[in-house]
Amino acid sequence: MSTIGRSFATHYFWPVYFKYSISTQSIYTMEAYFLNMIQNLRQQEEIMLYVNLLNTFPEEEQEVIRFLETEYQNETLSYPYQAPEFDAEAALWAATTIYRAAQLILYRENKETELNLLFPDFSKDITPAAVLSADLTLRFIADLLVQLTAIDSEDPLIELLERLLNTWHYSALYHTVDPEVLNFKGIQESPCVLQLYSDRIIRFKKIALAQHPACKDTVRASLGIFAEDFWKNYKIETT
Amino acid sequence: MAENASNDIVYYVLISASQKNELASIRHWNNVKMGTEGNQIWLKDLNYVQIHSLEIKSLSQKSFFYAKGAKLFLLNSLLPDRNIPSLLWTSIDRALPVRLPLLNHNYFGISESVELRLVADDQERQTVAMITDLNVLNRYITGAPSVRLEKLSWTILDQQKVLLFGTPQLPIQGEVFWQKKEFLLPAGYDFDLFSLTDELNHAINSQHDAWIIWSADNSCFLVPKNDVQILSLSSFRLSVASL
Repeated sequence: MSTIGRSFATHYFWPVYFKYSISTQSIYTMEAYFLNMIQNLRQQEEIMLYVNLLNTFPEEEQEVIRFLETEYQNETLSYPYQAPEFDAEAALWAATTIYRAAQLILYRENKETELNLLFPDFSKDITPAAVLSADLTLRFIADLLVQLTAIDSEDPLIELLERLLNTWHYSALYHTVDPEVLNFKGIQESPCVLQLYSDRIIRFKKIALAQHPACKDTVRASLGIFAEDFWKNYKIETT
Repeated sequence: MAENASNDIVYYVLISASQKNELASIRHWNNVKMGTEGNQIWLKDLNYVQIHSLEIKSLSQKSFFYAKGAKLFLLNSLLPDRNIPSLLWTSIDRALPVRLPLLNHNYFGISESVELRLVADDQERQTVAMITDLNVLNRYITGAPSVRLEKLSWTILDQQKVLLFGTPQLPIQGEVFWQKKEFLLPAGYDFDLFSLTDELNHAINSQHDAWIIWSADNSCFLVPKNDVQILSLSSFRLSVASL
Protein backbone atom coordinates (compact mmCIF):
# COMPACT_ATOMS: atom_id res chain seq x y z
CA MET A 1 0.00 0.00 0.00
CA SER A 2 1.45 3.35 -0.89
CA THR A 3 0.46 6.60 0.69
CA ILE A 4 0.55 9.91 -1.06
CA GLY A 5 0.92 12.30 1.79
CA ARG A 6 -1.11 15.43 1.28
CA SER A 7 -2.01 17.57 4.16
CA PHE A 8 -4.43 20.40 3.78
CA ALA A 9 -4.88 23.46 5.90
CA THR A 10 -7.23 22.53 8.67
CA HIS A 11 -9.72 24.60 10.51
CA TYR A 12 -11.28 24.87 13.90
CA PHE A 13 -13.52 22.18 15.38
CA TRP A 14 -13.52 19.32 12.93
CA PRO A 15 -10.19 19.08 11.30
CA VAL A 16 -10.28 16.31 8.76
CA TYR A 17 -6.94 15.26 7.41
CA PHE A 18 -7.09 13.72 4.03
CA LYS A 19 -4.81 10.88 3.21
CA TYR A 20 -5.15 9.50 -0.23
CA SER A 21 -4.03 5.92 -0.29
CA ILE A 22 -4.04 3.62 -3.21
CA SER A 23 -4.48 0.01 -2.35
CA THR A 24 -2.75 -2.51 -4.55
CA GLN A 25 -4.83 -5.35 -3.23
CA SER A 26 -7.67 -6.81 -5.20
CA ILE A 27 -11.07 -5.45 -4.38
CA TYR A 28 -12.32 -9.00 -4.00
CA THR A 29 -10.25 -9.69 -0.89
CA MET A 30 -12.90 -8.76 1.58
CA GLU A 31 -11.53 -5.85 3.56
CA ALA A 32 -13.83 -3.83 5.72
CA TYR A 33 -13.18 -0.58 3.89
CA PHE A 34 -16.46 0.97 4.90
CA LEU A 35 -16.12 0.11 8.58
CA ASN A 36 -12.46 1.14 8.64
CA MET A 37 -13.22 4.41 6.98
CA ILE A 38 -16.02 5.29 9.40
CA GLN A 39 -13.94 4.27 12.42
CA ASN A 40 -11.01 6.27 11.17
CA LEU A 41 -13.22 9.27 10.57
CA ARG A 42 -14.74 9.17 14.04
CA GLN A 43 -11.55 8.38 15.95
CA GLN A 44 -8.75 10.08 14.04
CA GLU A 45 -10.88 12.54 12.09
CA GLU A 46 -9.17 11.54 8.87
CA ILE A 47 -10.23 9.43 5.94
CA MET A 48 -8.41 6.81 3.92
CA LEU A 49 -9.43 6.32 0.30
CA TYR A 50 -8.89 2.97 -1.34
CA VAL A 51 -9.76 1.66 -4.73
CA ASN A 52 -13.09 2.90 -5.96
CA LEU A 53 -15.50 0.67 -4.13
CA LEU A 54 -18.85 2.27 -3.68
CA ASN A 55 -20.89 -0.68 -2.52
CA THR A 56 -21.12 -1.83 1.04
CA PHE A 57 -21.86 -5.27 2.40
CA PRO A 58 -24.70 -6.07 4.79
CA GLU A 59 -22.44 -7.71 7.43
CA GLU A 60 -20.23 -4.68 7.34
CA GLU A 61 -23.22 -2.38 7.66
CA GLN A 62 -24.24 -4.13 10.88
CA GLU A 63 -20.72 -3.58 12.22
CA VAL A 64 -20.89 0.09 11.30
CA ILE A 65 -24.24 0.48 13.03
CA ARG A 66 -22.88 -1.19 16.16
CA PHE A 67 -19.85 1.07 16.12
CA LEU A 68 -21.88 4.23 15.56
CA GLU A 69 -24.29 3.30 18.31
CA THR A 70 -21.42 3.10 20.80
CA GLU A 71 -20.17 6.45 19.58
CA TYR A 72 -23.68 7.85 19.93
CA GLN A 73 -23.98 6.61 23.52
CA ASN A 74 -20.69 8.34 24.35
CA GLU A 75 -21.81 11.57 22.77
CA THR A 76 -25.20 11.61 24.44
CA LEU A 77 -23.43 11.91 27.79
CA SER A 78 -22.78 15.52 26.91
CA TYR A 79 -26.17 16.19 25.33
CA PRO A 80 -28.57 18.36 27.34
CA TYR A 81 -31.94 17.11 28.57
CA GLN A 82 -33.00 13.59 27.55
CA ALA A 83 -31.23 12.59 24.35
CA PRO A 84 -33.40 10.77 21.78
CA GLU A 85 -32.82 7.09 21.06
CA PHE A 86 -30.25 6.08 18.47
CA ASP A 87 -31.67 5.87 14.97
CA ALA A 88 -29.76 3.09 13.23
CA GLU A 89 -31.23 3.75 9.80
CA ALA A 90 -30.33 7.40 9.75
CA ALA A 91 -26.85 6.68 11.07
CA LEU A 92 -26.23 4.07 8.39
CA TRP A 93 -27.66 6.27 5.66
CA ALA A 94 -25.37 9.14 6.70
CA ALA A 95 -22.35 6.86 6.96
CA THR A 96 -22.99 5.47 3.48
CA THR A 97 -23.43 8.97 2.13
CA ILE A 98 -20.15 10.24 3.49
CA TYR A 99 -18.37 7.04 2.45
CA ARG A 100 -19.47 7.45 -1.14
CA ALA A 101 -18.89 11.20 -1.18
CA ALA A 102 -15.36 10.66 0.07
CA GLN A 103 -14.66 7.98 -2.55
CA LEU A 104 -15.86 10.32 -5.24
CA ILE A 105 -13.32 12.94 -4.24
CA LEU A 106 -10.66 10.85 -5.91
CA TYR A 107 -12.35 8.27 -8.06
CA ARG A 108 -14.84 9.19 -10.75
CA GLU A 109 -15.70 6.29 -12.99
CA ASN A 110 -19.41 6.88 -12.95
CA LYS A 111 -21.32 9.21 -15.19
CA GLU A 112 -22.70 12.40 -13.73
CA THR A 113 -26.23 11.15 -14.21
CA GLU A 114 -25.53 8.28 -11.84
CA LEU A 115 -24.67 10.61 -8.98
CA ASN A 116 -28.26 10.83 -7.82
CA LEU A 117 -28.48 7.05 -7.69
CA LEU A 118 -25.45 6.89 -5.44
CA PHE A 119 -26.99 9.38 -3.03
CA PRO A 120 -30.59 8.40 -2.36
CA ASP A 121 -32.56 10.69 -0.04
CA PHE A 122 -33.29 9.48 3.46
CA SER A 123 -36.57 7.63 3.11
CA LYS A 124 -38.07 8.25 6.57
CA ASP A 125 -39.09 11.33 8.50
CA ILE A 126 -36.36 13.49 9.86
CA THR A 127 -36.93 13.00 13.57
CA PRO A 128 -34.74 14.44 16.34
CA ALA A 129 -33.22 10.97 16.72
CA ALA A 130 -32.40 10.89 13.01
CA VAL A 131 -30.84 14.35 13.13
CA LEU A 132 -28.45 13.42 15.94
CA SER A 133 -27.66 9.91 14.69
CA ALA A 134 -26.92 11.12 11.18
CA ASP A 135 -24.83 13.96 12.55
CA LEU A 136 -22.23 11.46 13.85
CA THR A 137 -20.77 11.25 10.37
CA LEU A 138 -22.66 13.88 8.42
CA ARG A 139 -20.90 16.66 10.29
CA PHE A 140 -17.79 15.93 8.21
CA ILE A 141 -19.55 16.65 4.91
CA ALA A 142 -18.73 20.35 5.20
CA ASP A 143 -15.04 19.42 5.25
CA LEU A 144 -15.44 17.26 2.19
CA LEU A 145 -17.05 20.18 0.42
CA VAL A 146 -13.98 22.30 1.06
CA GLN A 147 -11.86 19.63 -0.63
CA LEU A 148 -14.25 19.18 -3.51
CA THR A 149 -14.41 22.91 -4.13
CA ALA A 150 -10.63 23.11 -4.10
CA ILE A 151 -10.39 20.38 -6.75
CA ASP A 152 -13.21 21.49 -9.02
CA SER A 153 -15.63 24.21 -7.99
CA GLU A 154 -18.11 23.25 -10.73
CA ASP A 155 -18.44 19.64 -9.69
CA PRO A 156 -22.14 18.59 -9.69
CA LEU A 157 -21.41 16.60 -6.52
CA ILE A 158 -20.97 19.88 -4.64
CA GLU A 159 -24.45 21.01 -5.55
CA LEU A 160 -25.85 17.65 -4.55
CA LEU A 161 -24.14 17.69 -1.17
CA GLU A 162 -25.15 21.28 -0.50
CA ARG A 163 -28.75 20.40 -1.14
CA LEU A 164 -28.36 17.53 1.27
CA LEU A 165 -26.90 19.87 3.88
CA ASN A 166 -29.88 22.17 3.57
CA THR A 167 -32.03 19.25 4.69
CA TRP A 168 -29.64 18.09 7.42
CA HIS A 169 -28.70 21.59 8.46
CA TYR A 170 -27.82 20.68 12.05
CA SER A 171 -24.70 18.99 10.62
CA ALA A 172 -24.03 21.90 8.29
CA LEU A 173 -23.79 24.84 10.67
CA TYR A 174 -20.06 25.07 10.10
CA HIS A 175 -20.76 25.42 6.42
CA THR A 176 -23.01 28.15 5.06
CA VAL A 177 -26.64 27.23 4.79
CA ASP A 178 -29.49 29.30 3.45
CA PRO A 179 -31.79 30.07 6.42
CA GLU A 180 -34.74 30.68 4.09
CA VAL A 181 -35.14 27.08 2.96
CA LEU A 182 -34.52 25.27 6.24
CA ASN A 183 -37.09 23.03 7.85
CA PHE A 184 -36.95 23.11 11.63
CA LYS A 185 -39.49 20.40 12.32
CA GLY A 186 -36.99 17.75 13.39
CA ILE A 187 -35.08 20.29 15.43
CA GLN A 188 -37.89 21.86 17.39
CA GLU A 189 -39.53 18.61 18.43
CA SER A 190 -36.89 17.85 21.03
CA PRO A 191 -35.54 20.37 23.57
CA CYS A 192 -32.27 18.44 23.45
CA VAL A 193 -31.75 18.98 19.73
CA LEU A 194 -32.95 22.57 19.90
CA GLN A 195 -30.43 23.34 22.63
CA LEU A 196 -27.63 21.59 20.73
CA TYR A 197 -28.62 23.51 17.62
CA SER A 198 -28.46 26.85 19.37
CA ASP A 199 -25.12 25.86 20.95
CA ARG A 200 -23.77 25.35 17.44
CA ILE A 201 -25.21 28.66 16.26
CA ILE A 202 -23.35 30.35 19.10
CA ARG A 203 -20.15 28.37 18.50
CA PHE A 204 -20.02 29.21 14.80
CA LYS A 205 -21.53 32.69 15.27
CA LYS A 206 -24.24 32.27 12.63
CA ILE A 207 -26.09 35.52 13.02
CA ALA A 208 -28.67 34.79 10.30
CA LEU A 209 -29.74 31.64 12.13
CA ALA A 210 -29.63 33.33 15.51
CA GLN A 211 -32.36 35.63 14.21
CA HIS A 212 -34.41 32.81 12.74
CA PRO A 213 -37.81 32.60 14.50
CA ALA A 214 -37.29 28.89 15.19
CA CYS A 215 -34.21 29.33 17.36
CA LYS A 216 -34.16 33.04 18.20
CA ASP A 217 -35.50 32.55 21.72
CA THR A 218 -33.24 29.63 22.59
CA VAL A 219 -30.14 31.47 21.43
CA ARG A 220 -31.09 34.55 23.39
CA ALA A 221 -31.84 32.49 26.49
CA SER A 222 -28.53 30.68 26.15
CA LEU A 223 -26.53 33.87 25.99
CA GLY A 224 -28.57 35.54 28.71
CA ILE A 225 -27.10 38.75 30.06
CA PHE A 226 -23.63 37.64 29.03
CA ALA A 227 -24.17 38.01 25.29
CA GLU A 228 -21.34 40.53 25.24
CA ASP A 229 -18.87 38.00 26.72
CA PHE A 230 -19.83 35.02 24.61
CA TRP A 231 -20.60 36.63 21.28
CA LYS A 232 -19.23 40.08 20.89
CA ASN A 233 -21.30 41.28 17.96
CA TYR A 234 -24.53 39.50 18.86
CA LYS A 235 -26.26 42.56 20.33
CA ILE A 236 -25.08 44.88 17.60
CA GLU A 237 -26.27 42.62 14.84
CA THR A 238 -29.60 41.66 16.37
CA THR A 239 -30.73 45.17 17.29
CA MET B 1 -14.46 68.66 40.81
CA ALA B 2 -12.73 71.85 39.72
CA GLU B 3 -12.02 74.26 42.51
CA ASN B 4 -14.09 77.37 42.63
CA ALA B 5 -12.16 79.97 40.69
CA SER B 6 -13.43 82.81 42.85
CA ASN B 7 -12.14 81.12 45.97
CA ASP B 8 -8.48 81.09 45.12
CA ILE B 9 -7.47 83.19 48.10
CA VAL B 10 -4.47 81.75 49.92
CA TYR B 11 -4.96 81.47 53.65
CA TYR B 12 -2.32 81.48 56.33
CA VAL B 13 -2.55 80.21 59.89
CA LEU B 14 -0.27 81.20 62.70
CA ILE B 15 0.09 79.07 65.82
CA SER B 16 2.66 78.80 68.55
CA ALA B 17 5.42 76.19 68.38
CA SER B 18 4.11 74.50 71.52
CA GLN B 19 1.03 73.41 69.54
CA LYS B 20 3.10 71.48 67.02
CA ASN B 21 1.70 68.12 68.09
CA GLU B 22 -1.84 69.28 67.39
CA LEU B 23 -0.96 69.43 63.71
CA ALA B 24 -0.87 65.65 63.47
CA SER B 25 -4.47 65.59 62.32
CA ILE B 26 -3.74 67.74 59.25
CA ARG B 27 -0.41 66.20 58.33
CA HIS B 28 -1.96 64.42 55.36
CA TRP B 29 -3.06 67.67 53.64
CA ASN B 30 -0.40 67.65 51.00
CA ASN B 31 -1.16 71.14 49.65
CA VAL B 32 -0.23 72.76 52.97
CA LYS B 33 3.26 74.13 53.56
CA MET B 34 4.81 74.86 56.91
CA GLY B 35 7.50 77.25 58.12
CA THR B 36 8.92 78.02 61.57
CA GLU B 37 9.72 81.53 62.80
CA GLY B 38 11.07 81.74 66.35
CA ASN B 39 8.56 79.98 68.55
CA GLN B 40 5.78 80.42 66.04
CA ILE B 41 4.63 78.10 63.30
CA TRP B 42 3.18 79.32 60.02
CA LEU B 43 0.94 77.24 57.80
CA LYS B 44 0.27 78.50 54.30
CA ASP B 45 -1.62 77.57 51.13
CA LEU B 46 -4.72 76.43 53.00
CA ASN B 47 -7.93 76.68 51.02
CA TYR B 48 -11.34 77.92 52.05
CA VAL B 49 -12.66 74.49 52.98
CA GLN B 50 -9.61 73.67 55.06
CA ILE B 51 -9.77 76.96 56.95
CA HIS B 52 -13.30 76.12 58.04
CA SER B 53 -12.64 72.48 58.77
CA LEU B 54 -12.94 70.88 62.15
CA GLU B 55 -9.24 70.04 62.23
CA ILE B 56 -8.21 73.67 61.99
CA LYS B 57 -10.99 74.99 64.18
CA SER B 58 -10.00 72.61 66.94
CA LEU B 59 -6.50 74.09 67.21
CA SER B 60 -6.46 75.84 70.58
CA GLN B 61 -4.83 79.16 69.67
CA LYS B 62 -4.52 80.39 66.16
CA SER B 63 -4.75 83.46 63.97
CA PHE B 64 -6.06 83.37 60.42
CA PHE B 65 -4.67 85.50 57.65
CA TYR B 66 -5.25 85.87 53.99
CA ALA B 67 -2.71 87.05 51.47
CA LYS B 68 -3.17 89.93 49.06
CA GLY B 69 -0.17 91.28 47.24
CA ALA B 70 2.79 90.93 49.55
CA LYS B 71 0.72 91.66 52.65
CA LEU B 72 -1.12 89.46 55.07
CA PHE B 73 -4.57 90.58 56.22
CA LEU B 74 -6.28 89.23 59.29
CA LEU B 75 -9.32 87.22 58.32
CA ASN B 76 -12.40 89.45 58.03
CA SER B 77 -10.21 92.53 58.13
CA LEU B 78 -9.51 94.93 55.30
CA LEU B 79 -6.38 96.38 56.87
CA PRO B 80 -3.01 94.78 56.20
CA ASP B 81 -1.53 93.31 59.33
CA ARG B 82 2.02 92.40 58.31
CA ASN B 83 4.20 91.38 55.41
CA ILE B 84 4.29 87.80 54.22
CA PRO B 85 7.08 86.29 56.30
CA SER B 86 9.98 85.02 54.22
CA LEU B 87 10.59 81.58 55.60
CA LEU B 88 11.88 78.26 54.43
CA TRP B 89 8.58 76.61 53.47
CA THR B 90 8.46 72.84 53.51
CA SER B 91 5.51 70.56 52.86
CA ILE B 92 3.81 69.69 56.09
CA ASP B 93 4.43 65.95 55.98
CA ARG B 94 8.17 66.54 55.67
CA ALA B 95 8.18 69.23 58.30
CA LEU B 96 6.43 66.91 60.75
CA PRO B 97 8.20 63.55 60.42
CA VAL B 98 6.57 60.56 62.03
CA ARG B 99 8.59 59.02 64.78
CA LEU B 100 8.13 55.27 65.08
CA PRO B 101 8.88 53.43 68.30
CA LEU B 102 12.19 51.62 68.24
CA LEU B 103 12.20 47.87 67.82
CA ASN B 104 12.63 46.19 71.17
CA HIS B 105 15.14 43.42 70.60
CA ASN B 106 14.56 42.01 74.01
CA TYR B 107 10.90 41.36 73.42
CA PHE B 108 10.18 37.69 73.07
CA GLY B 109 6.42 37.63 72.81
CA ILE B 110 6.49 34.77 70.31
CA SER B 111 3.87 32.76 72.09
CA GLU B 112 1.26 35.37 71.34
CA SER B 113 -1.11 34.82 68.48
CA VAL B 114 -3.54 36.85 66.45
CA GLU B 115 -7.10 35.94 65.91
CA LEU B 116 -8.12 35.71 62.29
CA ARG B 117 -11.62 36.66 61.44
CA LEU B 118 -13.62 38.01 58.58
CA VAL B 119 -15.25 41.40 58.66
CA ALA B 120 -17.91 42.81 56.37
CA ASP B 121 -16.39 44.74 53.53
CA ASP B 122 -18.31 47.02 51.18
CA GLN B 123 -15.87 47.02 48.27
CA GLU B 124 -17.32 45.55 45.10
CA ARG B 125 -15.45 42.55 43.79
CA GLN B 126 -15.88 39.98 41.05
CA THR B 127 -16.94 36.63 42.42
CA VAL B 128 -15.03 33.72 40.93
CA ALA B 129 -16.26 30.65 42.74
CA MET B 130 -19.45 29.17 44.09
CA ILE B 131 -20.27 26.35 46.44
CA THR B 132 -23.63 24.87 45.72
CA ASP B 133 -25.63 21.75 46.20
CA LEU B 134 -25.19 18.83 43.81
CA ASN B 135 -28.94 18.65 43.22
CA VAL B 136 -29.21 22.37 42.49
CA LEU B 137 -26.46 22.07 39.90
CA ASN B 138 -28.04 18.92 38.50
CA ARG B 139 -31.32 20.72 37.90
CA TYR B 140 -29.64 23.52 35.98
CA ILE B 141 -26.94 21.66 34.12
CA THR B 142 -29.12 19.10 32.33
CA GLY B 143 -30.61 21.89 30.21
CA ALA B 144 -27.66 24.25 30.22
CA PRO B 145 -26.27 25.80 27.04
CA SER B 146 -22.72 24.57 26.49
CA VAL B 147 -21.43 28.11 26.24
CA ARG B 148 -22.22 28.69 29.92
CA LEU B 149 -20.24 25.63 31.00
CA GLU B 150 -17.16 25.97 28.83
CA LYS B 151 -15.41 28.54 30.94
CA LEU B 152 -16.09 26.85 34.27
CA SER B 153 -14.28 24.16 36.18
CA TRP B 154 -15.54 22.22 39.12
CA THR B 155 -14.90 19.66 41.78
CA ILE B 156 -17.07 17.68 44.18
CA LEU B 157 -16.37 18.63 47.80
CA ASP B 158 -18.24 15.91 49.57
CA GLN B 159 -21.19 13.80 48.52
CA GLN B 160 -23.51 16.79 48.43
CA LYS B 161 -21.55 19.96 47.74
CA VAL B 162 -19.76 21.08 44.61
CA LEU B 163 -17.32 23.90 44.00
CA LEU B 164 -17.68 25.78 40.71
CA PHE B 165 -14.83 27.92 39.52
CA GLY B 166 -14.78 30.61 36.84
CA THR B 167 -16.80 33.48 35.42
CA PRO B 168 -19.54 34.14 34.54
CA GLN B 169 -21.03 32.07 37.31
CA LEU B 170 -24.09 29.95 36.70
CA PRO B 171 -27.50 31.43 37.52
CA ILE B 172 -28.16 29.13 40.46
CA GLN B 173 -28.25 29.55 44.21
CA GLY B 174 -25.14 29.01 46.24
CA GLU B 175 -22.50 30.65 48.39
CA VAL B 176 -20.26 32.84 46.26
CA PHE B 177 -16.61 33.59 46.86
CA TRP B 178 -14.07 36.09 45.65
CA GLN B 179 -10.41 35.37 45.20
CA LYS B 180 -7.59 36.93 47.16
CA LYS B 181 -4.24 35.26 46.44
CA GLU B 182 -5.14 31.61 46.87
CA PHE B 183 -7.92 32.32 49.30
CA LEU B 184 -11.54 32.10 48.37
CA LEU B 185 -13.34 34.45 50.72
CA PRO B 186 -17.11 34.72 51.01
CA ALA B 187 -18.45 37.63 48.97
CA GLY B 188 -18.86 40.77 51.06
CA TYR B 189 -16.15 39.81 53.55
CA ASP B 190 -12.46 40.46 53.89
CA PHE B 191 -9.89 39.55 56.51
CA ASP B 192 -9.89 41.78 59.55
CA LEU B 193 -6.08 41.80 59.34
CA PHE B 194 -5.96 41.96 55.56
CA SER B 195 -2.27 42.81 55.36
CA LEU B 196 -1.47 39.38 56.77
CA THR B 197 -2.94 37.69 53.68
CA ASP B 198 0.45 36.92 52.13
CA GLU B 199 1.89 35.44 55.32
CA LEU B 200 -1.24 33.47 55.92
CA ASN B 201 -1.32 32.16 52.38
CA HIS B 202 2.24 30.96 52.76
CA ALA B 203 1.64 29.47 56.18
CA ILE B 204 -1.44 27.49 55.16
CA ASN B 205 -0.52 26.64 51.60
CA SER B 206 3.25 26.74 51.26
CA GLN B 207 3.24 24.54 48.14
CA HIS B 208 0.77 26.85 46.37
CA ASP B 209 -1.03 23.82 44.99
CA ALA B 210 -4.42 24.30 46.60
CA TRP B 211 -7.25 26.76 47.02
CA ILE B 212 -8.02 27.79 50.58
CA ILE B 213 -11.71 28.10 51.06
CA TRP B 214 -12.58 30.31 53.98
CA SER B 215 -16.14 30.00 55.16
CA ALA B 216 -18.14 32.75 56.76
CA ASP B 217 -18.08 30.80 60.05
CA ASN B 218 -14.29 31.28 60.09
CA SER B 219 -13.32 27.72 59.28
CA CYS B 220 -11.26 26.84 56.26
CA PHE B 221 -10.33 23.86 54.14
CA LEU B 222 -8.04 23.20 51.20
CA VAL B 223 -9.02 22.03 47.74
CA PRO B 224 -6.06 20.79 45.65
CA LYS B 225 -5.86 22.74 42.38
CA ASN B 226 -5.38 19.51 40.43
CA ASP B 227 -8.77 18.29 41.60
CA VAL B 228 -10.55 21.15 39.86
CA GLN B 229 -11.57 19.89 36.42
CA ILE B 230 -13.26 21.42 33.38
CA LEU B 231 -17.02 21.39 33.78
CA SER B 232 -19.05 19.67 31.11
CA LEU B 233 -22.31 17.81 31.06
CA SER B 234 -20.57 14.47 30.45
CA SER B 235 -18.05 15.09 33.23
CA PHE B 236 -20.96 15.89 35.54
CA ARG B 237 -22.99 12.84 34.57
CA LEU B 238 -20.05 10.44 34.83
CA SER B 239 -18.93 11.85 38.17
CA VAL B 240 -22.40 11.74 39.68
CA ALA B 241 -22.88 8.19 38.44
CA SER B 242 -19.65 7.11 40.14
CA LEU B 243 -20.56 8.67 43.51
